[in-house]
Amino acid sequence: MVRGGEREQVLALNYSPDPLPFLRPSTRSTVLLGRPVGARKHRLTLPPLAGRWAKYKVSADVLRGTIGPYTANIKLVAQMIPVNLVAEIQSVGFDYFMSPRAVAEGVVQGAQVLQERQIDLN
Amino acid sequence: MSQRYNRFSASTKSRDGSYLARWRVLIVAATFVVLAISLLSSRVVRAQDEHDQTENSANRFSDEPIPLADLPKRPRPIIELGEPFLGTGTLHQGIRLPTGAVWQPAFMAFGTIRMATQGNSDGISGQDLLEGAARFDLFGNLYLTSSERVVIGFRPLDQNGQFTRFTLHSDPEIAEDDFVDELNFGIRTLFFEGDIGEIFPKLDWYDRRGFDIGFSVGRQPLSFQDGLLLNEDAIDAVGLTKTNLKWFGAVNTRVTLLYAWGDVDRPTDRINRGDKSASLVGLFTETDTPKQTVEFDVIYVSADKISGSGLFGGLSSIRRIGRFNNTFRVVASFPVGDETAYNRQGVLLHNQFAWTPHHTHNYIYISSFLGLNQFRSAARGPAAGGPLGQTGILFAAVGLGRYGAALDNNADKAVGGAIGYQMFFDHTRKQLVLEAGGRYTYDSDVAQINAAGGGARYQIAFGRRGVVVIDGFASYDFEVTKARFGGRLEVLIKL
Repeated sequence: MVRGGEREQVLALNYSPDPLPFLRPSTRSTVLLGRPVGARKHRLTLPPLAGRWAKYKVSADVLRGTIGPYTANIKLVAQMIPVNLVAEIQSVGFDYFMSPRAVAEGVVQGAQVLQERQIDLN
Repeated sequence: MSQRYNRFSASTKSRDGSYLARWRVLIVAATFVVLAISLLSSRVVRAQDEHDQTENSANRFSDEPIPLADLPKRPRPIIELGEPFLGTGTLHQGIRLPTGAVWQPAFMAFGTIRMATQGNSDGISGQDLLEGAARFDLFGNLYLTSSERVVIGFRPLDQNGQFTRFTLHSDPEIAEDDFVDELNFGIRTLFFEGDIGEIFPKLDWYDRRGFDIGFSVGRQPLSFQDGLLLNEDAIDAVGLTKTNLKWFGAVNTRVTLLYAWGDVDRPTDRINRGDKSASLVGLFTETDTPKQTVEFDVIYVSADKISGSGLFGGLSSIRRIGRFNNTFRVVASFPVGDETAYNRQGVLLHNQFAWTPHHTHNYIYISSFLGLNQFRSAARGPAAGGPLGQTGILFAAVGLGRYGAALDNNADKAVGGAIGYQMFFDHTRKQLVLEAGGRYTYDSDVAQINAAGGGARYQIAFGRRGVVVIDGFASYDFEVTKARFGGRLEVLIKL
C-alpha cells in the first residue's frame, strides 16, 4: 500500500503505490526477501501428511427454540478458482458471450466434494 | 539544523506560555488516542458481516454478457534481447551447462524518468524555494533463467542525495548556480542472484537434499522491517537465503544470512552519511503462521570508535483481524561501546491499522508511532530520510530534489501518527490520498519538533507509460508558531 501496511487482494497486482501498475523485473534481490517488494503471498498451505484443526462457533441465538440431536456436516470442497476472482477479472470480458454471473455459477457448479462426513454432536 | 533549533529556543521565550501549553495538551491527547486506537484495535474491533446478499445488492454478479476486451499490446522495455518479457510465442532451446542447468538468456533495459516542479514556503527556516528537479533510474536485467539473473543500475542525474536541479526562485538567495547538474555514471546497482540447486541440478536431480539455497552478491538496494530497521539504496553485500522451512509448526519460514562490507550509510541525528569503517552482519527471518506473518531480524554493525558499533533488532506482526489489517513493528538499537551520533540506544514502536470500505477499492489507514529514547536504524541511504516515512505521506520524502517531508521523520523521543484515506477512481487509473498527521516530542532533552499538518496526493495515469503526481501540504510548528506550505507537480515516465 502507499501507506497503511498491507491488505489482501484477489489479484497480485499492486495498484496502490501509483495508478499505473507496470510489470518489470524487480530492481532489488527477490531471493533475499523470497518475494518482490510490494507484493507477497501469505502462505497457508498444508504440508504433506500434516493436519490442521479449524474452530467454528454457533451462537446460542441460532439454536434457540430448537431441540437436538445436532449434527455437523463437514465437506472438503475443491473448486477451480474462488468466485470473487470472477469479479476482479470481469473488466476484460469472457468467452462465449457469457455474463459474470453465468461464469460464477458455472464455477460453483463445477466444485467437487472430495470428502464428506456427518458427525453426531450429542 | 542547529540554526533552526536555536530559533526555536529564542521564539519559545517570547511565546505565551498558556497558549503553547494548550496546544501541547491537544497534540499529546490526539496522538495518544491515535496510538491507542491503532495498538488496541485487535481488542476493540470485530469484523461485521455487512454483505448484502439480496438481488439488488452491489455484490451481485451482473447478468449482462461482457465480450472479450480488445487488449492493447504489452509496453515493451526500451531494449529487449532474447525471450520477450511477459510475451508470447515459442521458447528457444536455451544452453545446457555442464552442471545440468539450462539457461535461456534474455536481456532488457528499463527504468523510470521523474521530472518535477516543486516549491516550499518554509516559515520555520525562512526559506522560500521553487525548483525543477529530475531523476533517471536506468536498469539492465539479464535473465539467465527465471531464478538466475544479473541486474545493473545507474542513476545518472543524482548522487549522494543531490539531484540535478534548476532553481526557479529562492528567497533568500542560495549560494549555488541556478542550474546544477549531478551527472554521473557510477554504478548504483550491480548484483547477481540465483539458486544453488538450479545452477547445479546434477547435485540433486530429485530435489531431496535441500540444495535450493538462494544467494545474492553485489551492490544492491536492501530494506527490512518496512525500511524501519534497514533501508539502503545501494550497499555491497552477500546474502544466503533458505525458504520453505517448517519450523515449530509454522506454515513457512524464510531465513536470510547477510554480510555487507561496503557503502554502508548510517543515520546521524538528521542526515544519513556514508561510514567507510562500517560493515554489518544480519540474520533476517519471515515466518507465515495460519493467522499472521512474523518477521524477526537482528543486525550487528561493526565500525570504528568514531561512529561506533551497535546491535539492532526488529520484531513485527502482520495480520488480518476480521476485515481489518494490522502491521505492528518494534525495532530497537543498542550501542556496543560508547554512544555516538550514529549509534544511540532507542526503541521505536510503529503500528499501521487499515481497512477497505465495503464495495470499494479505497483504503483507510491509521498509523501511529512511539519513539523511546533515540532509535537509530542499522543503515539508511542518503535519500531515505528518517525511520518514520512509513507513517504517512506527510512523513515521507518524495525522493526527488529538495522538497522535504511535511513532518519531520526522526523518531527521537516522539509520539505521533497519521490518518489517511486513499480513494481510487476510473478503474484505479486515478487516485487521491488525503491525510492528516502530527507529532510531539515529549522530552526537552532533544530538539523539540511539535507539529501537525494536512496533505494530499492526486495521481493520474496517462497513456500506457505516464503518471502525473500532484502533491500539496500545509503544516504548523507549535514550537516556533510558524507554518510551512509545499506543492509539487511531477511527471513520471515508465520505460
